[in-house]
Formats: sequence, structure tokens, C-alpha cells
Amino acid sequence: MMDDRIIGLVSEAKLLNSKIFSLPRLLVLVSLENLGQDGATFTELRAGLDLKDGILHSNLKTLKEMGYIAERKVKLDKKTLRSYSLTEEGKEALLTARNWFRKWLS
Amino acid sequence: MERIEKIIACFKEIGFKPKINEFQDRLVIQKAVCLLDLMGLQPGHTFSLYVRGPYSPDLANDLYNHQEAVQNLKSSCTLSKNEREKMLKVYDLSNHLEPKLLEIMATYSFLWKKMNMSARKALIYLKKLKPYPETQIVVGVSRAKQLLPPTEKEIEEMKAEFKAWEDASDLDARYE
Repeated sequence: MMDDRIIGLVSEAKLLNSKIFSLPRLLVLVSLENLGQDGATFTELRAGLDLKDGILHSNLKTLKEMGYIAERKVKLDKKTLRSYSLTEEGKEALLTARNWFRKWLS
Repeated sequence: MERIEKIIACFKEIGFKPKINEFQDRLVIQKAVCLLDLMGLQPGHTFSLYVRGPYSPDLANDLYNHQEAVQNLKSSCTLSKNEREKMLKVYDLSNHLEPKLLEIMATYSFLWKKMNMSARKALIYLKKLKPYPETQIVVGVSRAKQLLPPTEKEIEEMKAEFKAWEDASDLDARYE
């Protein structure tokens, strides 16, 4: 038998995009959350999140395809770097996931 | 507007006219203001540690919201002699606002002074966050220490840390 809480969780789980539930993807989304349009470069994300190049690259690609992050080229010390920032869809997905987790933990 | 006016006045002092659409100029402002904040200038922006080192979302918003004033260095704020000297010190020690040097100086100083990490721990964490060549790290850390000299308490902590290293080295020598 399921109580109301479980029924609520199951029902609200339908709003979640299960593709964000991987540790590297959640870490990327959370770390970009407060960086606004400035975002962070590939090197900053790799160093700050302690992720291997390949893992970060493939997860950034997935998040980009999902429309949750935007990539653009920026110049720093005459070098061209790739910078990533959270899109409105990304913010929304993160908020939905966070709210669901809060209910799941309570 | 008041807090951004002080920052504009600081950049006016050194004649740095930023372009807010440029990633590098925004980075330079973030790191320079972080250092000024640590030096006690207190323009009123809150800095926290993110993957890109110390960063203030408040400051980023102010830069975008007052883009015209920032880019044209429009400010009615007059800096005190002490404030002017602080800005000039940041400007000189960062080789005229060199981005990587500012990143190292600001990140190290923030870890050390704001997050109260020991000098050694701050260095280890700095190298993790900013994996730049060792020579750049050494110069940046040295400049940060010139900008924000260690307090007596910090000197004592450093001595204690170095003592542990010296003791270990003495022990090694005894077994050679």
C-alpha cells in the first residue's frame, strides 16, 4: 500500500528529466548555477570538479544537447576558450530536481 | 548604484576602461575587486568560492545593470588617498591587471585570508583550482603576500608548518 507521500513523489517524478541524474551532470549544473552569463570555462570546470577530460566533455555535450547549458567561445590572454553557462531551461530543471529531492528526503 | 560607483572610481584612477561584453574584462574586474575587498576597501559585494575561484554574482549583476557607466567610467565617487593607494598597489603588483596573475593572486588571497586556510593548504588548493605553470603560481603567490602581508598569527602558523617540514627533514638526514 502506498501512502500519500509516495504517491506525490511518483507523480512529481514525471516532471523530472532522468538524464540529469548523473553525478558529473549534477555537479556541472550546480557549479554553473550562480555564475550567470559569465559561466565557467572547460578548464575551470575540470579543475574545480576534479573530472577527467573525457567524462567532462561527454557530459557537457549531453547537457548542451538537452538545452540546459550554452557554450560560447571567449578570449582570455589572446587564447580562445570554451565557456559554459546555465540556460533558463537548465535553471528550471535544476530547481525541479532540487524540489523533488527535498520532498524525497523529508 | 553607490557600491558600483566606488568600483568605477577605482578603475578610473588607473584609466582602465572595461568592455563589459568581454569575458576577460569581466574577469579582471571580478578578481581586482576581490583583492580590494580583502584589502578592506569594502565596496559591498559578497564574494564566494566557485569553480572559477572567488566570484561575486552581485558584482556581475551590477556590471551588467550599469554597463554604460562602467564602460565610460562615470562615477561621482571620490576615492580617499588610502583607497587610491590600494588600487594602485593592485594595479602595480598584477602587472597592470594581467588576468592570470590576478586570478592567482585573488584565489590564493581568498583561500588564505577569507577562508582561513593555512598558507600551505591555500597553495595546494590554488594549484588544484588554477593549474597554471609553477613559475606563474610562485609569482602570483608572492605578489599576493606583498599585497596582503601575513598577520602575526599567520606568521606563527607558517612557522609551525615549516617546523614540521624541518623536523621531518632532520629525521631523514639522521637515517642517511
